[in-house]
Amino acid sequence: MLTHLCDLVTRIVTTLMWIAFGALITTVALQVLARNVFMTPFIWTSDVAQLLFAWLIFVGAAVGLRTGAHYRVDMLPEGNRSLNLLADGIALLAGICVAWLLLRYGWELAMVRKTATVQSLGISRFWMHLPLPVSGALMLFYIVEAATLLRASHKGMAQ
Amino acid sequence: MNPLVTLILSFFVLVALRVNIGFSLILSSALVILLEDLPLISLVNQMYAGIDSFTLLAVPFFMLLGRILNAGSITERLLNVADTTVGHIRGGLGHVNVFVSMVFASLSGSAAADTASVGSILIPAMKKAGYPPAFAAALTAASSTLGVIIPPSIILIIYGAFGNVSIGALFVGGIVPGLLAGVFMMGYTYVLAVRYGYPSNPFPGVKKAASVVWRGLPTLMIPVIVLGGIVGGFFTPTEGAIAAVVWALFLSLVVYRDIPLSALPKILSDGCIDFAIPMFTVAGAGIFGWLIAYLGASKIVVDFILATTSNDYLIMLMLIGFLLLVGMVLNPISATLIFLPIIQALGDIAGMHPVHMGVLSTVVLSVGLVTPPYGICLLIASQIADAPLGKAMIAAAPICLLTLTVAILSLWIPDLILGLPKLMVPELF
Repeated sequence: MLTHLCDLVTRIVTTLMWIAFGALITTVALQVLARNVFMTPFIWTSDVAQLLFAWLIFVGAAVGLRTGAHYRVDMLPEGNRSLNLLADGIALLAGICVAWLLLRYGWELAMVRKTATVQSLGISRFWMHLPLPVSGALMLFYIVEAATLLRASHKGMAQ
Repeated sequence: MNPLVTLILSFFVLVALRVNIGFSLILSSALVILLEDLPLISLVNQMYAGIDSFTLLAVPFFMLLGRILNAGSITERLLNVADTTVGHIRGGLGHVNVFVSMVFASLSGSAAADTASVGSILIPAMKKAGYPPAFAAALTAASSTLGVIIPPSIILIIYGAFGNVSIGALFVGGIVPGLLAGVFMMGYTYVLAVRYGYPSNPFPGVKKAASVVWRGLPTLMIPVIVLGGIVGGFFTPTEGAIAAVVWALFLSLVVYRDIPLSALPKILSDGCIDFAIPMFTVAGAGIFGWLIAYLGASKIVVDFILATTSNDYLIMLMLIGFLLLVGMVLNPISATLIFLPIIQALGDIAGMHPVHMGVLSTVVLSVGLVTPPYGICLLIASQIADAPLGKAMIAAAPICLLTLTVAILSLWIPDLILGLPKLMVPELF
């Protein structure tokens, strides 16, 4: 059930991600054209690009947590099951801490910046910082799934 | 415990416990922020500041370029060009491997992408031709690291963006050391080929060779667009990257028609994860590096080295040794960001030009992509080759030494790095 829900959320998020990446490419391409061909630079393109960039990084990092794309250094011996299980547990705990930091303090930062405005776009800077807590929430969601799977595999091994 | 020691020690403990590198950077920083009684909001603030740079936007575009090249027939065309030009030399497939990595490096700037794409084609072919699997894996992995040195290099973009050094000059400075390392690797392959009787491919004839190179020419235009545009002042690095992406998409979608439009969403969403992970690590390294500076690590390391020696070359040799050790555990992006203040402080003391320092440290850190335990290129290549990692490491050791030789030569002969920038961007000298 949880895995199906995670699949659905991931599908929605990755769809939004490729659309946003396409928009990012278009925005910067437009900037190059505006500056070099039309000789009239569009100031708003930099801010839109920066906004999309931040969203893609933090949301992409959360999705990468589910797909196991983050960089890890493997120094533990493979054969020792209990040591590996302990390491997996610590990695999950570390994930919870990071996700909580992003969610709690990312939200606080977004609220602090709420009163400032992105001049060229006329929007609150809140939207520039919102990807931090969103990433934290998404990470927590995926960590719950990973913990469930780890528990199930531990039970399977014990039987 | 000293907060600086706590920061570094807790980071390495977390990494050893298989916590991913980005999370380890964030958690060890959070621990020290708590111990120093600083507000935790500064953690997320510094993380955001770490990626809040228009120049860094070049990174996703160069990574996407690598995906586009692999999804269509562009990599295959490059392989054909390499095979036609150097495949007939003794040890042909080995030379093709290095040559195509040099060309691929000038297109995408991602070493891991190069290992996976070139390796999946050339490693099985090399095994079939009688090359030992461990050597095929080692050569593929080591030659892929040329992507970190030859422009457009993602590490050089990050060094320039955070170290306030001209990225165009860094790009141009990376050309000679990158090519030299490639030539050394081809020389080494030739020596082994003669000793162990590795075969060469037949030369297809001048007419066929010319036709293959002609067909590969539109792809070979990409580095000309990027470098020419940046050094000529037409583009910023980010704009150069987008010009290259648009050109590659035009080739693949319109000219060659080897990527259907329906494949684009998958290429783009995979491309997002490709850059989100290193950039998230950059955000983590942003707060870690800020703490390193806040706790005065640069001064401690500089004082320690200066207490040992005042000779400029020895200072640089100690820095090279330090970066080699760091590169074994950290990927070059994190290592560059975290230790940038130390690299630049020691460079200033030794009287090194900032461009010289940037390229030299990048050459040294590139070796870390092959050395254990974080030798990601060697891990990928040995998996493709189905070769034991230990044997692949032994086979890779002499090739890593060749890259290090280039670093030492560049230290003694600065014009290996600075010669081209002096010619092409003289206003910086």
